Amino acid sequence: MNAPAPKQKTNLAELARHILEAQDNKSEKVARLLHDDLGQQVAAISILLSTLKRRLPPGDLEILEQVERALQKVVALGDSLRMLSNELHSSILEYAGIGVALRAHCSALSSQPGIRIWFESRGEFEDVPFPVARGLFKIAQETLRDLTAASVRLSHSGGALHLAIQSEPILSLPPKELATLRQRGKSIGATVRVKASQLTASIPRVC
Amino acid sequence: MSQCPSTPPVPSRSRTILIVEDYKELRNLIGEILKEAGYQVSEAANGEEGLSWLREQRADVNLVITDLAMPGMDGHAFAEQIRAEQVRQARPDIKIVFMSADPDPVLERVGAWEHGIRLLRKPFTDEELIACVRDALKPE
Repeated sequence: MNAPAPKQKTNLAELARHILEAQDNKSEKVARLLHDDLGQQVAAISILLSTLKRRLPPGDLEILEQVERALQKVVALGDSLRMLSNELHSSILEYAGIGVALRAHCSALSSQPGIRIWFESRGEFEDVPFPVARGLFKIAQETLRDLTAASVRLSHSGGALHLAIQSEPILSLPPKELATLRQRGKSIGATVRVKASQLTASIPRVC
Repeated sequence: MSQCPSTPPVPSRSRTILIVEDYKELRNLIGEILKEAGYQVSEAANGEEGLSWLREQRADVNLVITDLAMPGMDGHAFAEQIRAEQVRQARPDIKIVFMSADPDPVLERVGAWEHGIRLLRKPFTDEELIACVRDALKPE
């Protein structure tokens, strides 16, 4: 089969960029639904159960215990909804920028048993445009998904934005996933490279 | 911003509380619990509605409990408007409680400008709600 002509290549890249953008917008909508709608319903159930618990006759310990268990389940459901919503669209990224969002993400991953993700950053990130921050955050999020130990470094200096993820053991990304990461990088002007156990995404000049 | 602690009950009857929350079912539930606890309660579906109510209100409002994320004027902008109205009309201090399910870094951003605003983290229980209201209304 012949290699695609330059114009076809550009069209394919443009199409890939649109697909990624559509996916991100969809994820954002679902995240808002989880946070705003389902989260509110969980909050209402929590109040209803706690009121029921308070009104139960004091002697009925078995029912009291079951209501207490249901209440704990609802609180856990609220936590899961928050985590899922954040996985799909980080509200921290939106409000506080990529530095804070990535730190929070690494910290949340490290709170799971058997996972340790170190994070360090250098520079200020508040002026990084949201689409760039979102693209870079997604690259980090997708790379870290199945890792149990890694260090993440983010720097912004002289206009250049650089993300490096060093993993243990060697980073083995499936070709399709790597292609998506590269495409995601391209859509924000970043070059994504993978070498042995390190992934880097660099943007020479963020504007 | 300080998290609502579990404080021992402080008698605080005949206090007026405005609840601002866009999700009607939750707003009504919070209202019912507070009425049952002896408070005068009014409700508004968003910041604009809450502000209109505050402007029309002759009696003093002691406490506003507001959701942070709402369509239109959100809780943060609403709280700023309340502060501005207080200064303009020389009204007594209105305490504010934010309700939110947002993660800490977002809350820190929102709360950094203001001291003394309490936070009720969603989901919460009726006991946590009452404890937070009592804590907010206790004399300083």
